[in-house]
Amino acid sequence: MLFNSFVFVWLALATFAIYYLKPLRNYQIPVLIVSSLIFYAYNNPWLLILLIASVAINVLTSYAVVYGNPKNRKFWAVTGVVINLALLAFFKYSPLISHSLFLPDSSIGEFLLQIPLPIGISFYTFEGISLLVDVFKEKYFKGSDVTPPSLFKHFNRSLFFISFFPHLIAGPILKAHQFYPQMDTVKYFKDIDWKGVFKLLIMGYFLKMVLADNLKDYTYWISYPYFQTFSTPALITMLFGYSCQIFSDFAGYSLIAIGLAKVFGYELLANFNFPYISTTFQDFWKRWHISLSSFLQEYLYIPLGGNKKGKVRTYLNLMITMFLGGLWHGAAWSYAVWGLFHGGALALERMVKPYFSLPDRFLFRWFKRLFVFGFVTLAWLLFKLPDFDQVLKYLQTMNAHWTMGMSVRELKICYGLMVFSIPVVIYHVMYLLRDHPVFNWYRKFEYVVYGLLLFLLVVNSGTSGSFIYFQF
Amino acid sequence: MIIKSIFVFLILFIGYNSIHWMVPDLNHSLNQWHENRARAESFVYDERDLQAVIVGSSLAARINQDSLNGFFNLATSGQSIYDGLEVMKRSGKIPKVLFIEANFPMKNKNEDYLADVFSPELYQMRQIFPALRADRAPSAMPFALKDKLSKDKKPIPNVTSAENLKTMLNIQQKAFAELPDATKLKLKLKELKNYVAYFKSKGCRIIFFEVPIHPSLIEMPFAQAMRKAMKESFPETTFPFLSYPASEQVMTTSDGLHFNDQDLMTYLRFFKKALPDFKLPA
Repeated sequence: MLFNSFVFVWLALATFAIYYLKPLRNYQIPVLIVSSLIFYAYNNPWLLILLIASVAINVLTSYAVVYGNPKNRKFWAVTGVVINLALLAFFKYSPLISHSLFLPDSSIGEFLLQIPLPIGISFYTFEGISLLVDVFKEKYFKGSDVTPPSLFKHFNRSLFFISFFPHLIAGPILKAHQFYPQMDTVKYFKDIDWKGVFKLLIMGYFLKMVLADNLKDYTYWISYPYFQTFSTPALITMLFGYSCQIFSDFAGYSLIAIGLAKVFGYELLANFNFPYISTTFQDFWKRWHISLSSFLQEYLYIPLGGNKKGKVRTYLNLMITMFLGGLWHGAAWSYAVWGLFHGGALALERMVKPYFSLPDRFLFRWFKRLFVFGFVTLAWLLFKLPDFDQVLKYLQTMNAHWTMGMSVRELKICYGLMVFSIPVVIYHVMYLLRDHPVFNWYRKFEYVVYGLLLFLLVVNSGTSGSFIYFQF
Repeated sequence: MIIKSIFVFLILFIGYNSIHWMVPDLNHSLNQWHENRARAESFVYDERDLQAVIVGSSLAARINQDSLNGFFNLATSGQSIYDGLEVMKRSGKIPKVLFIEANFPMKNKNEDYLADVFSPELYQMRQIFPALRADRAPSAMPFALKDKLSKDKKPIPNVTSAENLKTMLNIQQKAFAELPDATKLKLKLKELKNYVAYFKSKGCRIIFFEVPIHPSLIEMPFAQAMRKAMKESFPETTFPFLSYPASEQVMTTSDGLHFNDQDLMTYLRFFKKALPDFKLPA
């Protein structure tokens, strides 16, 4: 079920109508669980089996960590994490394992290729891992604070944590210590921050339905073999457009998820913080897919040693974290390469920083900004073209077609790309100007902007398409 | 703030619709997906004298319906014949004659496209508020205005360099060297038979036509297999088959498959010449 479908709107409205009813106040979590399971099972009810099985594994192992034999705490935590990763590997990476390790005609290889990829598995297995690690380490709370003695109650709360529909299939990835405490209070209609919800939903749907859904019709031509017939300026514009598309798609989804959660009284942390203004790669990863990068930092990079074990180990930890972070995105080596590119950039930046840095002045800041943006944009090619040889062909074509004239068709494609990419630029520039006096005009006439966004949402949405991050 | 925003929205929405109520032919599709939806919406919502409909893929989509009396081109670029057939079926608008492109019967229909066109929530609203239609988007209005003001309305020229043609032709030749999946072809032809039976039961005459492609591809295994399968499923004794004869001018194409501008003129001349054979005005 897509957020931008009418059937979802009806489901959300029906849930909202029931949720705040006085007689059902003590059943708010079960209401959201039922709604979330309908949301998840709508297109394929069989997926529920795996989701509930995953929740059950996390519930049983986390319960054993808290209430089992104290000597076996680590055993149960490790077992739970390993099972989560095994499930993810089996369902997600079976095609990659098949292509990499088995001959095309082998029966095992063919079997592995047939295994379906359940939507959202990358997200909910990570959340299960977060629950296990948080109850084991007890860094933020005691395990028993989050894991009630009643196994049934623990199952309900954990099922809600993992299946809550705003974040279920494309994040933000929730951490147990951020979400569980919110479950302890009843939510009231009078406490809804309507202005906040309105702004989040309008901006989220605008980014997704107007910008991302329109941009996809133009970045379609980045696919092989079509890109081979385009001129260099068109290819560069398409790549820029794709960079704006992937941001709009994912940031839009995250804003919708945060807005929806807010309607029901839950606060999800921001997942994007204007990433394309970043002047360093380190800054980029504090602004892009924040929930994933902070998850990887807390549950992978720091346990590996972080930056506490010397320079070489730090660079290695960065590379490993980003390699696995890249691979998390998809079962193709191109995603791992993408992760390595970013890991390499982070490591190199850290290496060079003590010896060389540009002055913190306006022109230098913009130079750094454009450099980081350019690198990130080029790396997105590995997302759009998962076959590595096609990526190389794209770059070769970009290099070879400088003197090819732009056709009328190409000009029209570039027009479409610019029309729907410029708002992304404006969105980031407005953030940069937030302390500037000119921003006071925006604050004064903010309602005009949101009225215009709503108008464009209604009359200028693109043809419907699923969210890019659904495939992860 | 919310009320004020909704007020601004209403002013913009009513104002923009007013423009389209006053100037109903102010429209333009920015890309092929918008064009596909715009065609379907025009077919569904606009009243017209419907002699014949063309359904097909991007190969047939370039056929200019304005130069064919009483024709409507419901071919969808990047999509399949089944999208056009399903639009016709769901709308209940059955023409006297239906031309079905025979080149690529294997492509599946696009359910998202059909759900968009026939969305229950928007179906009625689009009839009242034309601004909700795909080719009335504000982003396309500069081109719509240009079309309206321009006396010489030409479609975007489809020209390509010799280098690009060679690149794409190489790729198409590799693809056409492979035979189609026999199981899938059988299933799709069964689906097509169901549609044909449905439209015949509504009194519609069915004519199949093969869009001419680059001469180096015409007799390759894929094209031959498609042609053979179509003629076996829909014998010429029952269903007329409009083939482009070898005696006619060969198609240069822009990429091996699609007409360039010269090809289109040539094919339209041939197509119009053939219409009286089907008791249709040229």
